[in-house]
Amino acid sequence: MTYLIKTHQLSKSYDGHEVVSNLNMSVKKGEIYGFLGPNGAGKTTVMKMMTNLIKPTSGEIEIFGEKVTEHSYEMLKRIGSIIEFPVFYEKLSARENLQLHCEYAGYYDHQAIEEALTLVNLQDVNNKPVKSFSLGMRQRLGIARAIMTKPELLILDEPINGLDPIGIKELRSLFQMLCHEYRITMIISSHILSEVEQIADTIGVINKGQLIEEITVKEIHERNTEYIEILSDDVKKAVYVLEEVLCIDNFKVIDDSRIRIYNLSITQAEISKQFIINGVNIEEMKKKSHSLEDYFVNLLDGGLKHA
Amino acid sequence: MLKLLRLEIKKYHLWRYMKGVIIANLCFLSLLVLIYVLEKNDGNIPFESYDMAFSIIGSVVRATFTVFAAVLITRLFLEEYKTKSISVLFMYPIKRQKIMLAKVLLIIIFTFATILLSNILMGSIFYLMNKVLHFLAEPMTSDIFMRNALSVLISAAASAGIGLIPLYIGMRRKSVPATLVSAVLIVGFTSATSNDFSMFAITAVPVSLAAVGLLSAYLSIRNVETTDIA
Repeated sequence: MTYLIKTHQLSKSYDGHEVVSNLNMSVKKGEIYGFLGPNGAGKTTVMKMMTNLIKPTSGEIEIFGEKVTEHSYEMLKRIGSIIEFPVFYEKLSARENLQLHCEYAGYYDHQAIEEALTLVNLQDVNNKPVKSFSLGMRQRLGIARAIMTKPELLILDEPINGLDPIGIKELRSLFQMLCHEYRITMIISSHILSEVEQIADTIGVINKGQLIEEITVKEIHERNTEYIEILSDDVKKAVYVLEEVLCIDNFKVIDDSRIRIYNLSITQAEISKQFIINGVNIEEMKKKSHSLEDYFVNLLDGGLKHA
Repeated sequence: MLKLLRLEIKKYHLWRYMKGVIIANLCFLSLLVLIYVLEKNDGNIPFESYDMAFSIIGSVVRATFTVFAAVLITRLFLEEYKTKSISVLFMYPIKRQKIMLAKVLLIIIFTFATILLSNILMGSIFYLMNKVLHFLAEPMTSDIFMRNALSVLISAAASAGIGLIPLYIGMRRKSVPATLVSAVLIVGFTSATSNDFSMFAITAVPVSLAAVGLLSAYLSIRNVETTDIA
């Protein structure tokens, strides 16, 4: 397996306060890497270090197999990015901004501008200055700019911020298309777990500057068990039925109305039948796989709830 | 490098500043006319010699475009940091010092060119006006011409350097007011005249100030490769 990005004991501190500490992350070639963490966890700082905007206090970063130094200009040609939020020259139009980008980046396929605008659904913006754009439009334009020069690596910091649900969906398929058809490796940060879960192949969880987990989505799904969740107004009675009548002991009372049964050898039909016979009201019964959210909330010790 | 200069101009629509330059020149012209009319009404001789007239034109033009340079600094440098577009700029595969050098060069060229051209324009207008109105007794000699042409050249070149002094102050504090105020102070210091004597007349003063300006530009862009972009 080749790695496109590898960091070794990467640390950054400001005035003695460590914002990123001893981070070792590896992004495989061709994958979408979801970089997940609550606000202020250090995601942007890590991404800025990858794009050479800030320099690590210690440790190092390897991109495309080369160590990132202050002279690493050539590698920037192969990277597209949005860091923090998309910034443009406000008085220029979307096209002018992209033209400027092409020239600075040394990329001369002017067809690419129209293609990129079409990909993000901004082909009709005409010559309005970027000043008048909404956050969602800026976000799309930022993505257009990042992908326009056909980079091998995309570093996108919170790219779905400010987009409406349809926009999010469009972007999701765009990302997947870029990854599968253009073989672009992507690292996408977010504090919204469900988003990352839906597109990422690997998820890196960062909290308080430390990488606390790096795991493939496949592994998470394998690791997490399925269960049946029952919503009832009389949990005590339900527990009695489960233990005494159905002889199940592999269950858990979540709160005063929910029970999760992990023993799946007994069918839902059988459970509901016994509940009805014994006079337990069931408001809802669902088969669920343990959500990724629970997994990460556990991991972050509630940290994500405040994000 | 030429390309970087061109892109900077394109990015900030710098040609639009030409409008400002033209307006400034119209102001110089009205100032000259005003001096002429007022002094004449008081029964004074408005301009005693070509040297005096060119020195007045020279210092007004210099003062104006040194402040103009500071305005350009706020746009080309400070605005780039303030809107964070600098982070986009620094992610291009171009050496950062080169990008910054292009900006510095642009300011030098702009200051030099506007001061030179405005002096030539105003000087010619003054000369032609005199041809018609005959308010100066002395004839235009090649000696006067050469002397003043040289001083205009020195003035333009020195001001191009001096105009950069606010860059260091502005970049340190990333502050627009600091940049503009320092430009005004510098202008006040160099253009202060008493009895037709200005600091600028001592060649050593403008030349050393210009050196300070170049040093200020160097110090401003020296560490740009290693400084974090917050």
